[in-house]
Amino acid sequence: MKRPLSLSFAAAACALACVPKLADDQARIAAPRVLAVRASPAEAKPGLPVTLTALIAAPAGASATGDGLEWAMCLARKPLTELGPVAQECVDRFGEGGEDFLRLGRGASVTGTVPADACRRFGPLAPPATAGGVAGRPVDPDLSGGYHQPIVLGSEAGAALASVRLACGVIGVPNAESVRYGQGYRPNENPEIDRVEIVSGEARVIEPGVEAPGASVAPGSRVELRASWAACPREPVCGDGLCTAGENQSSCADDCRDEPRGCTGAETYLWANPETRTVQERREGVRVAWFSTGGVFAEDQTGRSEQDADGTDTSNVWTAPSERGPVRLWTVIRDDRGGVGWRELAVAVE
Amino acid sequence: MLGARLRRAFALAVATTLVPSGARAQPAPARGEAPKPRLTKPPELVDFVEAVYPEDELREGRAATVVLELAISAAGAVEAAVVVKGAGAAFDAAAVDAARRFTFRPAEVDHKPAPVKITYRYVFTPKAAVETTGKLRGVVLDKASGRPLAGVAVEVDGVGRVVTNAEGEFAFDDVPVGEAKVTLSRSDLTPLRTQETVEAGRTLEARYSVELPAPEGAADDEDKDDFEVVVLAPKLVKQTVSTEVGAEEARRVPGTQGDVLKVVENLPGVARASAGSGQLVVWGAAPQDTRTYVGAVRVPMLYHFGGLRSVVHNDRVASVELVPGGYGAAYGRGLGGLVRVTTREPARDRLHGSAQLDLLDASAAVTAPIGERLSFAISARRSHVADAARLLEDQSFQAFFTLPEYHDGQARLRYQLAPNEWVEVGGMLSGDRQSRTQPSNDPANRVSETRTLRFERYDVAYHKQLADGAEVDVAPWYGHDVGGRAGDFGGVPTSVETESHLVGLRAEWRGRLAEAWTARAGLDLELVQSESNRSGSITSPPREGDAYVFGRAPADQVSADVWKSVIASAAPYAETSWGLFRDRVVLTPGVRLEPYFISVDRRKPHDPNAPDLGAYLSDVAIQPRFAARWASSERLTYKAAVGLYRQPPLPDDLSAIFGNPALGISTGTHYVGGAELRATSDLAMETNVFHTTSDELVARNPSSSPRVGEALLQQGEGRSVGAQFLLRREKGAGRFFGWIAYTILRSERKDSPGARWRLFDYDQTHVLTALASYDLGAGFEVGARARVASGYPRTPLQYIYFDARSNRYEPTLGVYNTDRIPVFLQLDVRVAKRVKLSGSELEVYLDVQNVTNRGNPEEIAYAPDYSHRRYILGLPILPILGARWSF
Repeated sequence: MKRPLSLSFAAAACALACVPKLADDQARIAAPRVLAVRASPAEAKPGLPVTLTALIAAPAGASATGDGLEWAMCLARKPLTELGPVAQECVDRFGEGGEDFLRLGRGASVTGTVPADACRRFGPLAPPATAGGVAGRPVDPDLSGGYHQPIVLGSEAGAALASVRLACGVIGVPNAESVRYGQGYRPNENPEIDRVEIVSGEARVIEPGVEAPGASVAPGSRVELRASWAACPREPVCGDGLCTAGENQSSCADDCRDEPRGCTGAETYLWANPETRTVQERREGVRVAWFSTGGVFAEDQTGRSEQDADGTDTSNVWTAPSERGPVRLWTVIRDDRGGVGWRELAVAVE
Repeated sequence: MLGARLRRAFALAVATTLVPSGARAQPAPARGEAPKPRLTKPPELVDFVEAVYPEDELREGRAATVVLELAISAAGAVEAAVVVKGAGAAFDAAAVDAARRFTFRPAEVDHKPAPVKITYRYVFTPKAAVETTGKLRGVVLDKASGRPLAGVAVEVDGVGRVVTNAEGEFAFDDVPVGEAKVTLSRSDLTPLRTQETVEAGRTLEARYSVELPAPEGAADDEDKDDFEVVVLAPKLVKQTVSTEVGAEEARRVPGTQGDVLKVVENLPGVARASAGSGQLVVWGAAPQDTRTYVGAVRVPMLYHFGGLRSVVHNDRVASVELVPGGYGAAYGRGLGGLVRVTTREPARDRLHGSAQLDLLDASAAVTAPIGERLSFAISARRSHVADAARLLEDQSFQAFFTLPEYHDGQARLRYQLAPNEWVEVGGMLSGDRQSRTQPSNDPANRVSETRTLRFERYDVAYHKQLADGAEVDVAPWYGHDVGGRAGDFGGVPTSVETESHLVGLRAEWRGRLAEAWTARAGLDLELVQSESNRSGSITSPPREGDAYVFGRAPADQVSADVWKSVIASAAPYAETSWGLFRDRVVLTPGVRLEPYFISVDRRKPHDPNAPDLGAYLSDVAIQPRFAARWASSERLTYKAAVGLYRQPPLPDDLSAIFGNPALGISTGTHYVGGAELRATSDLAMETNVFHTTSDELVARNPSSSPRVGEALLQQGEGRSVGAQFLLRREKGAGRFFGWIAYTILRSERKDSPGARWRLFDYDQTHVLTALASYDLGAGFEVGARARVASGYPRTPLQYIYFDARSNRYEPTLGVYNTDRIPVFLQLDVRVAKRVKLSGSELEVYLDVQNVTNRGNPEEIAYAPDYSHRRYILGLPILPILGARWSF
C-alpha cells in the first residue's frame, strides 16, 4: 500500500507543477524606457509646484534624452470597478487629451502645479459633487496612508504612470489623533542611494557616473552588488539637521524652520491606522530595482521591508556578460511613501 | 356483491296513506255507536333491506320509483307487498323483494298493535357504489439505488397477494377500510410486515424502500436493515427538473474518488468548476446563489476547499438530488439551484462501520442500535494530502492549485418513538484551511494567502407519519460559521473575516386532501447574525464582474471596516398538486410568502467623532410557483414550471465601506419546460429548456464618484438561457450504469441600467459529461468518465503601461469577457476490486484522473510585462489509490 501511494503522490505533485515559467528579464535594458519618475518635493500640497524628472535608460548607442516625453496630470478619478492603479482613461486617452488631462509639457523633466482640488479628487476629502448629485466617497489611502495625484508620461513608444504624493492631512480618526497627526507628520523625503559596491571578493565601491567605468569585473563573473542608503533615526533628535516624525517648528525650530529636510533612508512617519482609527508611527520599507544593459541580475528588485527597516542596504547578484565591454547599471530606490531616487553607474567588463 | 358495492340504496319511504287494515273493511259507525278505531302510532321501519339494483338498469344509469302497498302485520312483518305504481318489471320485482323483508315496529290502533297497510315509495337512484373499501397502490424500491424491485410478493391479510411488476409496482383495489397488514417478501429477502390505514374510497399510495442483501461475493456492509420502510406517504409531485442519484451508484462514478456527493459535478445543468475551486455553478447562476441542504439544514458549501471532497461522509448519505431551477415553494432564498442531500438513518439491526484511506484523506464511520429504540451514527474524516505535499521540496505547484487541509464529522442519535415516528438529534462540523506562500527577496513580489472556513450545525429532527399517510417533519437547527481570508499580494494586505450564528427551522406537513389532491404546507425560517471584519483593498478579493487578470497585484488603496448584520426571514409556504385524468395531468401551484428583515449596525462609514446610525430594511413578497406535468403515455411525460425567487444580500456585502448597508433583496424568475421519456425501468431520457432572469443583482458601483456607503449597488440584471439533456441508465439489477449529460447555455449580466450585456464570469457554453461503470463480476468493477467543457470567459488586454511608482507593468483591458480559456477535455477511469472477508468487505480502487495526461488550460497567466501569455494547466494524470473496509 505504501509504495503505490507514494508513487501516486509523487506523480500528483509532479503533475501539479503546472504554472508556466513566464519570468522575463525585467532588469535588462534592451530599448529606451522609463525606469522611474521622481517628484520634487516628494510630497506636495495642492497648489504648490512640483518638478517631475524621468529616469530614462537606454542601451549603448540609443538615445535616452527624453525629449519626446509628453507629461500630463490625469484628473480622472478611478471608479471602484477599476482594479488597476489608475482610471483606465488616464492611459487609454492620454494621446487624445481632453478635460481629463492637465498638460505639463515635454522633456525628461517638467514642472507643474498640483491642482488645488487634488485632495478632493484623489485625497481624503469628499470629491466635488456631480451635477444634481451629492458629494461622493473619498479615495482610500494607500498602504502608507498617502494619496496620489496621477501623472502620465509617454511618447509614441509607450506610456508610463507616475504620481505625486499629496499632503492632504488625515480623516477618519478622532479629533485628538488628527491634531497629533498634523503636528507630527513630516512630508516624505525622496530616498537616495549613498553608494553601490561590489562585495564579492575584495569589496569596492562603484563610483557613480556614466562617463567612465566606476569599477571593473571579469567577463561572466558572478558578483554580489550592495546598495546602501542613509540610516534614519527611529526617534526624533532635535539638532541632527533632520526634521523627522514628531518634530515641528515648535518642538525643534532648528531642524524644521527653514526648508526642513527629511532623511533619505527609511524614514519614520505617522500613519492613521484605518482599523484602530489611531495615529501610529511606522517605518518606511525600501526597495531597490536593478537594471543593466548587459549581464543578468538574480533578482529584479530587492529591499528591506518595514519590519526589516533598520537595515540600510540590500544586495543582489549580478552575472556579468561574457563579452568584454562597458555595461551601464541603474539602481532605483523607492520608499513606501512613493519617494524615488536613483544612481547611474558604469562598469567595465574586462 | 353488487349490493355491497352500492354506495347506498337510496330508499325513501313515504307513508302517503296509513290505514288500519282491519278498519278498512268495516262500515262507518252510526251516531251513538262506538267510536272508530284511531291510529295512535304509525308503524316504524326498523330493518331496512336494500333492494338489489337491477344490473342492466344500473349499468345504463336509470333511476326509478316503485310505489308499493305494504300490508304490515300486528307483529311488524310485511305480509304482502303490492305494486301500486310500477317502474318496470325488474325494478318492481327488486322493490317487492326487498320490501317483503322489511321489519317494522308495529303500528298501534287505540294504543294496541294492529295490522295496517301503508303506501311505500321505493326510490332507485343510480349513484356511485357505496364504498366500503379503499385502494392500496405502491412501489417497492431498492433503498440504496432507488431502482424498482420486481418480483416482490406483496400480501395484504385477508385480501390477497400480488407480485410487483418490472417497475416495482403493485396494486390492491378492494382493501377493507381500516388497518391493513402488509407483508413484503422475496426469496432473497426476509419478509417485512407493516401496517397501513386504508380509508373508504381513497387510494393510499405507499413507497417501500428496502435494503437488498449484499451481492454474492461481497461482504455485509453498511447498514443492513434488510427491509425497512422508509417512506410512506401520499405521492407528492417531484420537482420539475431534478436528478437524484443514490449513494451506491454515486460512489462508483469514475473521477469522484469514491465521493458520493461529487457526483453532482456530473449532472446536467452544472458547469465544470475550474481545478481546485470546488464551486457549484448551476444554470449560469453564481455559486452563492445555489443552496445546499443536508436534510433540513442549510450548509455553506457542498465541497471542501479545492473541491477534492464533499463535506458529508459517504456512509451518511443515502442520496443526493440536484434541482437546477424551477423548484417548488418549500425552498427559497436563492436565485440559483438547489442541492439536497438525504442522509441515511442510523442502523437499527447491528453494528456497521467502515474505514477508508487514500491519497487525499482518511475516514471512518460507525453506526449501530442501542437497545430497541435507540440508534446512532458517527463519522469523521481528516485530510493528509497537504501535509504530505509539504514534504516535497518544490512547492511551486501550489501557486495556482493550493492543496487544502480539511476535516469533517457527523453524529446522529435517533430514538424511535413509534413504528412511524422518530426523533433525531445530531450535528455536523467541517473545517477547511488553504494556505500558500510565494517567497521572494522583493517584498513587492511576496505572495501569501490563507483561506479558512469552519462551520458547525446542530439540529433536532422530528418525523411522524400519521394514520392517513400524511407526514409531519419539524427540524429546528443552529449553525455557526467562521470564515476568513488573509493575504498579502504585492505588499497589499487583505483580511476578511466573518463569523455568523444561524438559527433555522423547517416544519412541514404533507398529505392527501382528496384522492387526487395532495398538499404540503410548512414554515421555513432562517436567521443569520453576522459580524464581519475586513481590511485591505476594496478590489481584493475580486468579485464577479471585475476585470480580473490572474497574477495582477491589487491596487494598494486600502481601508478597514467592522460591521454587524442580521438577515432574517420566516417564510410560510403551501403547495398542492391536483391530479387530473387519473393523474395523467398534475398541476402543482404553490406560494411562498417571505418577509425579510435586514439590519446593519452602520449606515455610513464609522466616524470616530459621531455616533453610528444603523440601517434597517423590511420587505415582504409573495413568490408564486407553478409546475405542471402531463403524462401523454406511460413512458412520456411533459413538464413545465415557472416561479419567482428572491435572495437576500450576503453579510459580507453590507459594509458601509466595502459594500452597501442598504442592499435589499435580489429577485429572479425561472421558466422551465421539458420532456422525460422512460424507455425501460432503468433507462430514461430527459430534455429540458430553461430561461432564468434576475434583477436587482449586487454589483460594484461604476461611478467614479460613488456616494458614501454605496460601493455596491443593486442595479444589476442577469439572464440565462439554455437546454440540458440527460440519457441515463440507472444501476438496476444489471451490471451497467451510466449517463450522458449535456448542457448548452448562455449566461449574461448587466451591471447597471446603462451598461451593455456581458458574459457572466461563469458562463460555460457547452458542458458534456459521459460516464459509465460496469460490474465485471467476481468483485471487479471498471468505469470511465469523459468530460468536455467550454472554458470560462476572460477579458483581453488592450494596452500595457509601466507604473513607475510600483515598478510594475499594468494592463488596460479590452471589452469585458470577450476572450475564453480553451476547451477542457478530460478522460478519467476507475478500477475497483471488492474482496469478501470474514464478516466484512475490502474494496481497493484506483481512480485515475486525466488518464491521457492532457494539458487542460485552467487560467491565463501573463509575463510580468504582459508581453506574452501562457496557460496554467490543470491536473495532468493523477492516480488516486485507495481502500475501503466495511463491515
